Amino acid sequence: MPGVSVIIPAYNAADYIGEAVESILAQNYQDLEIIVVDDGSEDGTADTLKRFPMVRLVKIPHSGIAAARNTGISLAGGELIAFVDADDRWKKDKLELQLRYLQLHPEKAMVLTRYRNFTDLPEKSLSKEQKELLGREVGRLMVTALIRRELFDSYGLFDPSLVYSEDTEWMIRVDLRRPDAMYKLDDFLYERRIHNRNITLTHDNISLEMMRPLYAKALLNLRKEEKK
Amino acid sequence: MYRLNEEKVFYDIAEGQAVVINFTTGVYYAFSSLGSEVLDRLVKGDSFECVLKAVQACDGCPEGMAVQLKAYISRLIDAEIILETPEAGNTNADPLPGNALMDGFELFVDEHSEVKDILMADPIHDVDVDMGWPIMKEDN
Repeated sequence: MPGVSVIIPAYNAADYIGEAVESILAQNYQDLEIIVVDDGSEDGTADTLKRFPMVRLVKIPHSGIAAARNTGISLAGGELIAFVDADDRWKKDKLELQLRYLQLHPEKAMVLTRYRNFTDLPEKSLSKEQKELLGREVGRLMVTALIRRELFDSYGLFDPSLVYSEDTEWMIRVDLRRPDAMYKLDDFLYERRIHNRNITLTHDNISLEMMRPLYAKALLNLRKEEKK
Repeated sequence: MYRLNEEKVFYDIAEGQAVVINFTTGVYYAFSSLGSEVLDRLVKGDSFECVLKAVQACDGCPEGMAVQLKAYISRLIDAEIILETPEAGNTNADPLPGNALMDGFELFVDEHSEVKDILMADPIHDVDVDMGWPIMKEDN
C-alpha cells in the first residue's frame, strides 16, 4: 500500500499533464501512487502519459471534475490522498513537509499549503484579469491539501451535481463537523497555472451570495452521509 | 399563502430533504420528509388547503392532519422561515412524491445551533488573510 495516493483529474490536458506528473515524480517523498482519471479527453491526454509507466490511467466518460476526483478516491490505496489539477505542478518538498506536519499533529486530518499562480503566456498577451490573478492568493485551495482518507469516509465524496466550487462545498462539510481538522502551512508548495482555458479561476471572486447555497448544500450532503 | 423569508433565510431541497439556514442567527433547520415536502410546497405558493388535500389523499393519513399541519406552519412562521402573505395561493393539489413519506406522516422541524459560529462568519470578508479561515466570534 502506498503512503500517499495522488489523484489527477484530467480533461483535455495533453499540453500540461506531463509537467504535473514530473513534479510528482520529483518529490522528495516517493512512497506514492499516481492515479490519472481521464474524464473523456479528446486531445490525446492518454497518449501523453505513455512515457510514465508508473502512472495508473483510468478513463471515464466525461462527467466533470467532482466525479473524476471521486473515481480516483475510490481507486486509491493510500491512507492519505492528494490532488493535483492536470495543468498545475508541485514544489518538490510539498509532500514531505505536509507529511511531517501530519505525523507531528495526529489530531489534524488535512494540511493545505499556500500557492502561487504562474503562467507561460507572454506578458503582452495576458488579459487584465489574468494579470490580476498572477499576483493574488485566495484563502484556502483544496487542491493543495494532503488529506486523511477518513474525512471522505466520514463526510462523503465531492458532490458531482456541482459544476464548480465542489471543493469549497466539501471543505465546508469538514468545517461544519470538524472545524479544527485543517491546517495551512505557510509555505508556497503549489503552483497554479494561468492559461486561456482555466475553468475555475473565474470563480476566485466568490461572493457571499454564492457561498450561501454551498453552506446549504453542505448541510444537505452531511445529513445524507449521516443517515447512511 | 406563504413565502420564504428571504431576507433572513436561505432554503434548499435535495432528494426530498430540505434545509434552511438563518444567516442572521446561525441556526439551521432540518425537516422530516413530509415536513420538507410541505415546506417546499408552501414556498412555491401552495395554499394551506391545497397542501392538506395532497397529504390527506395519501393512504394511511392519520386523522387530525389539519391540526397537525396548522401547528407545523405556525412553527415555521415562529422560526421566521416563512411569512404569511395576503394572496390566495395555488389550489391544485398535485400528489405527493413517494419519498415524501419516508418518515411517515410526521411533520417536524429540528433546530440546530451547534455550528452557528461558522454559519454566521462572513466567509468572504471575515477571512484571515494568511490562513483563509473565517474569523470566529469570541464566546461571550
